[in-house]
Amino acid sequence: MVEMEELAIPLVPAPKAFGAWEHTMTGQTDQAVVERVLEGEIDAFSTLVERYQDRIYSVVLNYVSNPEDAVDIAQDTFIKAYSKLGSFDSASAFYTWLYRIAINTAIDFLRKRKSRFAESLDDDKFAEAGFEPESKDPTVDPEGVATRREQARMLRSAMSRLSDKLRAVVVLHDVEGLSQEEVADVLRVPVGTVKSRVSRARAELRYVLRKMMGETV
Amino acid sequence: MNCKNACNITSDYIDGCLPPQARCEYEAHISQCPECAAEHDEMRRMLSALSSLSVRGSSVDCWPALRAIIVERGRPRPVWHFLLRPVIAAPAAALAAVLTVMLVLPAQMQTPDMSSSASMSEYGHYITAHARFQRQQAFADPDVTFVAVELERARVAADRDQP
Repeated sequence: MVEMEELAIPLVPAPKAFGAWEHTMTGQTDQAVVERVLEGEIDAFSTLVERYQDRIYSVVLNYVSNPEDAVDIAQDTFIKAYSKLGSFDSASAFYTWLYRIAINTAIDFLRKRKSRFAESLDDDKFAEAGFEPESKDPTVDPEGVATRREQARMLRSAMSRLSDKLRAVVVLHDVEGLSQEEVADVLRVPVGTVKSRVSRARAELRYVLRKMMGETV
Repeated sequence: MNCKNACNITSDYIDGCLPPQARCEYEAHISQCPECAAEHDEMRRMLSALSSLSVRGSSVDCWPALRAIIVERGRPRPVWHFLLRPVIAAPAAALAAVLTVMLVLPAQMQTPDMSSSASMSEYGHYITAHARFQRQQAFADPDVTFVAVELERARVAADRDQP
């Protein structure tokens, strides 16, 4: 008999739902900041950049699996967002709009440069770019760090073998912790579609991981 | 619930998307089936590992480079700004010109109001314009030209036949 509690072995706590901290580091809603930018206050855009650059970078990094490209794509995302700010529909959340731009920019990037896959799995680049910094804490177990790094490498490698649609769902829902409703808003698809894509993506991911582990053994 | 059904709903179970009855059935199944319990365990581990890939507190700072680009580009454009692009604006202007000509010309050809004496001169102008238009038409249209020639012949023949 297996107890339910024994089955869940969380390695790290799941990230907080995105909408939960939608704003306000500076006490202003995204919409208010957007209006300021549209009125010509260029520096107000820095509020939005600072608020979301971490998460946009994370999404893009997990999508393209290359820190250098991720920085470029994150930057492109904000440039596009700034250029199209006039067409932003305030009826939807700013961050879902921003995520949509980021995912589309990442997809476009990968389509243009399909040959990046082999290079993207270079662990040293992640360490160099500060993605997985070497810990100087003596209490940190180096073996544990190496294991987690290897695990992350395998996961990214497995994710890169998914189709664009499934990878987007995995990154947004399972990595970034967005709800299915938020993912549906970002990808502009019904919630039911997100649900089925989540199931399919996880099944494919498990299949790929099993295969990879079999190959490793 | 059999193993295949259980396997299909593992993902929904973990996301908390199952209705209460299905949830109970699933829990009952995996408590008795070590293989499905292992599947469940593996899925949870994988999802936990995936959530660990999320990057927070990175040293990435896009703003300095972004600011330079944004200052160069100026203010964000309003949503209707794309209408001013030559690709859209030039055909739109041409279309507007054609529509104006099509709407204004027939209006000029309408019969004026004959109820007052003041409009008589307008009517004269109308007749002149209409006659000019017909001549233009006749010049342009071979059928009209042919009919005009035939009418002229008939008129000459009638004059000749008159005693």
